Amino acid sequence: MKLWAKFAAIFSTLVILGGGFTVVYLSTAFLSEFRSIQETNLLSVAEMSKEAYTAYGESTTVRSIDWSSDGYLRATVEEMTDPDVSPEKQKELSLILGEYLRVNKISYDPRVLIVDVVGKDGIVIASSRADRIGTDEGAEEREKQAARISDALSAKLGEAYMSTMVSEVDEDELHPMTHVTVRLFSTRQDENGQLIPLPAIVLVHFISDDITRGFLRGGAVHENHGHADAEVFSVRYDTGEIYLARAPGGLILTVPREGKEGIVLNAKVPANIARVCAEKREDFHGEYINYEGTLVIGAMECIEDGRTMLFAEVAAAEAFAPFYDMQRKIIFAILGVLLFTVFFSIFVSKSILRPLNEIVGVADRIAKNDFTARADVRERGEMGQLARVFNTMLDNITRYQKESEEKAKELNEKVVAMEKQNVFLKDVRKAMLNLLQDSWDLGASLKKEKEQSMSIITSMNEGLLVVNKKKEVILMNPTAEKLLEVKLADIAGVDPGTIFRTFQGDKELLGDDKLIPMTMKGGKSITVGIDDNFFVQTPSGKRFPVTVATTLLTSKDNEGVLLVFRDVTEEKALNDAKSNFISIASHQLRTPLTSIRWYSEVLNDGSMGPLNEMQADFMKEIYQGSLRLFRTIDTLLALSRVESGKFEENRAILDAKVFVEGTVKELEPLLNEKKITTHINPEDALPNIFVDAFMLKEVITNLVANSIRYTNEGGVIDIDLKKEDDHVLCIVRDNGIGIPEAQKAKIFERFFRADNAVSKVPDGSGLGLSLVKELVEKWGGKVWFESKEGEGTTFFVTIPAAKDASGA
Amino acid sequence: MQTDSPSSSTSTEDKKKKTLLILVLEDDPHLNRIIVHKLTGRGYNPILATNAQEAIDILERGEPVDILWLDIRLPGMSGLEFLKYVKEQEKFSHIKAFIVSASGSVEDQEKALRLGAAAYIVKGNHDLDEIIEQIIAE
Repeated sequence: MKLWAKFAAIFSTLVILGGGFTVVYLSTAFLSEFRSIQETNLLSVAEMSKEAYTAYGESTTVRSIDWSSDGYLRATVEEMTDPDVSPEKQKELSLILGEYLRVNKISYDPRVLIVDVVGKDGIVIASSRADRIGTDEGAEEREKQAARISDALSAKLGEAYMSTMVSEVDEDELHPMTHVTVRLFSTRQDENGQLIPLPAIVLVHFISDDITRGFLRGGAVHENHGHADAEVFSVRYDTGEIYLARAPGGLILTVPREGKEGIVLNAKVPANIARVCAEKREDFHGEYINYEGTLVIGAMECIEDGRTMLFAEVAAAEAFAPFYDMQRKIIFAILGVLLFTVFFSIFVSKSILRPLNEIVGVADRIAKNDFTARADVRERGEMGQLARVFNTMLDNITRYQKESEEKAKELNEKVVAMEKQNVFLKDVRKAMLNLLQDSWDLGASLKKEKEQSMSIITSMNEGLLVVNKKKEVILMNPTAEKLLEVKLADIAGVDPGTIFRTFQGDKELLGDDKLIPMTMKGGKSITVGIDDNFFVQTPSGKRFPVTVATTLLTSKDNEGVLLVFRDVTEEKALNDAKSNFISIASHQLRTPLTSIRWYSEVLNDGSMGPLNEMQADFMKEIYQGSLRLFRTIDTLLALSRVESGKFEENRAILDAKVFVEGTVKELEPLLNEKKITTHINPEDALPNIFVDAFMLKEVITNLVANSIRYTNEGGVIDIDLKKEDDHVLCIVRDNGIGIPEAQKAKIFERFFRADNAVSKVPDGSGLGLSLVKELVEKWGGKVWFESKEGEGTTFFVTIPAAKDASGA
Repeated sequence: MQTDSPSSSTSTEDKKKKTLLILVLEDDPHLNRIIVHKLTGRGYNPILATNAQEAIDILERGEPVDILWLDIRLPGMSGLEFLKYVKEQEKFSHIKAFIVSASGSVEDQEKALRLGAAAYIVKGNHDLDEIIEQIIAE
């Protein structure tokens, strides 16, 4: 990486990190500040509405107290509640009072819907609406927790109780209602000058529609700035809302607006917020899920009764929209600054570091011996100074170099002159030596040596051919002449490749694949053996197998190739005969043996008439003998095939369990004969094996056959198969005669048979175990055994496991 | 020929015997004599050929041969070459062929199965009864 790029990268990274940090820090700080401002605003909106609500409450209580002080009302009620007055009179008074209330009270205040007079048992005894007489307001109180009748019944003069708002059906419409209760006092005074309380109260029903709309807009009742603020609030926010709620009923009064029909909603405020008011009489502000299920930021003002709350809230999405907008703008701004900074840093680092780069480049060229290089730096300041010093230094170096070159040239000329003199002296010395040689007559003995060599070459049994660098024949012995059917005189100076053809098997060797060019090219000797299948064909068409050895000749003035070859027709025939022997022996021995087996089988099956006991027994001997001979021949053939190297391993992936079962099944006649049971115990998840099927079959057959042979009737043979590292361990265990301690070492030797084995089964071949060992070692495995004479023998064989294939 | 399952009833077995024509191609006079004897004794109908040409003649003259019993090493055309010839002729390709050879060579075995032999049996390793059971079972 170039210096300027490194600089720019580091600088940009720092700027980006700084920018990122700034964005995160500012976002967090701004968000918390913004939230706090929003909440404070909402709280003050809610507070203003609360003030309006309280003012409204005061106005209703004042109105109610004023009405309850009406003298006629008090006098009439006193008379009605007098226990001495007859019920008829009471009824009459009640109707008159009702009429009085309707005409003289209701018509003066449109906010008032009904005025009731309620007895101490909570039953309406008189009302501006006659149909309400007898209504149990006490029950209604308990049910709705609305009119505070019980409080009022024990109140002092001038006290009134306002209920929280409730919804009530009036003329089939739901309206928010406020109820105010005031205790009635007699017009008379007691002995202390106190007004005597009556056992009744006045209950005034206020319709609060307009009022509610007013204070929920932020204080229409009180004409103060709160109203204007709340208007701004609802205009500013689409989702802004101020509402009154009452716990625990969950009644919510809100201003009708788009998407909301009524002003009375049966919905619940969040329980945790309701608790703040009910238990602590405290206000609340923060984020919460409102009665519509929307995440909002809002404030709650708690009214003193602990059940009425005023909410001002805005959907969080809208409330924070300005913030997120601002945040986006800040991020864009910072990204812009970042980009600018990165480009600027690249530009600056390039322009500052360019001169330095120039100097580095020049130094590089000088390192490659280009002393003409000069730094092209026109800058002032340190950089320019550095470049100038550098260039001056280079000038000096060039001057010194030129001087030393001139001196070297001078020296060189002197050396050349001296060398010429030297060569002359050498020539003189050589001439003198030649003179001496002639006089000592060395030539005679050289001639003798040459003759000796020639006689060896002439008489040798191998053909000998020497070619020079141009591949022309320059020497050939009589054997070669005879074999190749040419005379040296006829082909001297010709490329032998144009006369004889060479084959490897059926394929003709051409061009550079021929031995002479190959030797020259490869620069080393080549040996061709009998198994390489080389043939030479003479011009007459005679073809014979050869073994060849080539040698590269590199004497000073005679470079070439020496080629010695031998006609191996006879050896080859012998070799072929040897390899044919195996298959011939197989056929020639097995066919007559098959005859013996099958004829004795047929004689024994009774189809040719019954044999007497002795005849049948003898026939069985012949049959058994043929079987044994088959095994011996098979073993012997396998052994010689493996030993001669003619056996080609043909590995395949096999299922060890299936293979062993199949092999043991073929030994069933032998097993049945001696009533020996076998158990094959493969381990779970045994891998497949990778081995030549013929070899494995020979090994298993020989081991199991041995176990059968040397185990008493009714014995047991166990064959375990286990996974071990990269192989499968096959264990053949019998409870037979075992192997004597002294003879354990010789057990794998050919034709060796242990003493106890010989006495038990006299006619074993002693070949089985040596074949087993040969085969197991050929596949790269190991075979060993554990044995105790008289108790049994266990053989262990390792078989390579197939790679990445499980035997499941 | 479509053979029935090995567990067929005795009557089917008898019927099969009468109709089963087995062409035995075996040059060794000692072996072919005992094979023919055994097959006849067990109630099958063997025809003997001692070389491939003889066997071809028998097939060509329209003998309804059901099973071929073939040796490999024969004078002239080998058993495997004969098998190849038979399997290439559409009119004979349905005949089940069994190689019964003295050679246990893996190459011969692979070649025989590739050419369409129903099974490869190594001669000396089995009794005649075993071989016949296997052929009938196939």
